[in-house]
Amino acid sequence: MAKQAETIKYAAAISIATLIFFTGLVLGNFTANQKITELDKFEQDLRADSLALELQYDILSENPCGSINHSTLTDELYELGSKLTFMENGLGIDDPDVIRLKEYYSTLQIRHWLLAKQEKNECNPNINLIMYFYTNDETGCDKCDEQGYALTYLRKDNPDIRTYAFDNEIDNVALNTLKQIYFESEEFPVLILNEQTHHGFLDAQQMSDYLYYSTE
Amino acid sequence: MDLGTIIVYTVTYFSLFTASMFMLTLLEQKDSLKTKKPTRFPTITVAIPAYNEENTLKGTVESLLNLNYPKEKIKIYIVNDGSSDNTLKIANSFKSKGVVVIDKPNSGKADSLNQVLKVCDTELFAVLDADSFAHKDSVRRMIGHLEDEHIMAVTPSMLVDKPTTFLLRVQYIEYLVGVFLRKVFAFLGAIHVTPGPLSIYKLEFFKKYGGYALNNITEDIEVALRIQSKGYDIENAHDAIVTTTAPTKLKALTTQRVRWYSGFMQNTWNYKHLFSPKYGNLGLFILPASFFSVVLVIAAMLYTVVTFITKSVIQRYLNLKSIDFQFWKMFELNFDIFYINLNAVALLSMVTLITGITIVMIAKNMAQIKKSIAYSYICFFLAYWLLFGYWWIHAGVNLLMKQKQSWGAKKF
Repeated sequence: MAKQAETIKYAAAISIATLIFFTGLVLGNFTANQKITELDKFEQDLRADSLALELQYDILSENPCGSINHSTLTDELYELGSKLTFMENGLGIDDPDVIRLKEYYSTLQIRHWLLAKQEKNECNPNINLIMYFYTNDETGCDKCDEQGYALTYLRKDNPDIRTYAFDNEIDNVALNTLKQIYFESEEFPVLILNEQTHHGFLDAQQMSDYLYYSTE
Repeated sequence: MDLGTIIVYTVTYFSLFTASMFMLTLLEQKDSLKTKKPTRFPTITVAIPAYNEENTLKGTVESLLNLNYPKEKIKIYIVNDGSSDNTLKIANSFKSKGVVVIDKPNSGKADSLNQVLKVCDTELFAVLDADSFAHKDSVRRMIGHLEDEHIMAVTPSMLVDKPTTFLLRVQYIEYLVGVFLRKVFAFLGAIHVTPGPLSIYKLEFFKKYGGYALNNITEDIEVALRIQSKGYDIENAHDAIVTTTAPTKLKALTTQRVRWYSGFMQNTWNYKHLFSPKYGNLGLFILPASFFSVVLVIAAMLYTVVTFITKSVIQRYLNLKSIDFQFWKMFELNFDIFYINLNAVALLSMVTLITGITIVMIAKNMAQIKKSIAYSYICFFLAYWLLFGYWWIHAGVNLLMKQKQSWGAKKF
């Protein structure tokens, strides 16, 4: 009788533990999915903003150096980028939702880069554009974390510097075209500073110097 | 799934299962939480083995002399185990109060206790370490359990005396968790240590199965496992409070814990036949779970330490180097509720933490502690898992290297 009571107790303990454990798992995955939904909404807003800015460019094409304010769109792009990094850390680099969002994010960045390049060429030569290619392949880039950190610092410290970070593993036609044009080797990180390619790590000061001399 | 996630999931599930077992056991036996009142006061011999205990011995003996127990029923023996300080002088000062002093060359705690067992003629035999202090009602609250013929020993609730420093606070919570565990283990019939700070035995057990095992670094684990292996039970009187002087220095604490854990491994190896359903919850659940929890803590500790050093410290240094060490930039983080991590790993870690806090609060209630333990708990939370993992690794390495441990000056 006592033995039977003990068996029931073990079964009850296993049931309680399993119930709480899977509730935690389900709740955790639910909140992660909520964040994906939130990102989806954010992505749609950004897509609309991007379209609006393109229309703004078309409207102002006859007066390209009119007062165009890029800052809102740029900030939103950066915000989406940092949220994506957070999701990537939480869900893993192989998560299909993360990959899908990153593909779209890459396209948005390229579009923004093209607009910014036009702005730089036609009316605002002071802005500097940095494209940064990293890889999540563990053997491929042991300096990419530091490079990302230095770029974030540089961008926050200099409003005229716009940075665009691309995952090399993202398979995107536009991105592949950029790589074909700018890549000189497969050494990572790859930095394209105002259209000049640099393979390998540069700290914040070195990047500033690079941009300064490329402008000279 | 990466290694960190696997460790968190395993720790959480294991914690939830053990906590559920403990809570169900406690609920099932809640009526047994009342003091077991004795119907009579049997004669009892209390042995105090002492090696260089000049700082605490006086308080220990006085706590026994002040016990709320018929004086004519208690005999107190102090065994001076070759001390090189004033222990013998202090012991002799109590002779006028009927305390018997045995002075002998250093031969270890087990042999010291055996010297008292040789002359013991009372119904019960108790051990009180010379750095521990019995509450005046402790013995009275313990002996009722020994009226059951299957119960061969009874243990009290131990608390750390004067927890004032960080390290003492860590131990304070550890001992408090021990109050909870010892009671639950008693309900499960699975107590596997009868600690030095006041365990009481029936003398008949030693008469039948021999005294303390010599050359054993944790004689209190050996005798408890021997009681279990002979088919008897060990009880716990959670309301019998004994305070003990815990080590204040990390080195002394590490030496103590390495001795305990090495002794636990040695003794469970010697009594490995107990790892069997034949011995009920002890063999089926508590002993295997004890070892599994050690494996989990070591895995979690090593993973956290290695990840922290490689991913956090080194990466942070390199990141700072890349921006010319402008430290204040590190704090320029934009707070956004989006970044609050509520994924499964974070939620399950919180569940484990809440489970731990619940157990400590129940233990606090059982030990009738009124004052706040929040600060002590924070100390415990920050340091214990690291220390616990380190001590076990240290003990394992010592065993593999066959290094000798000691109680007092005696090496085993």
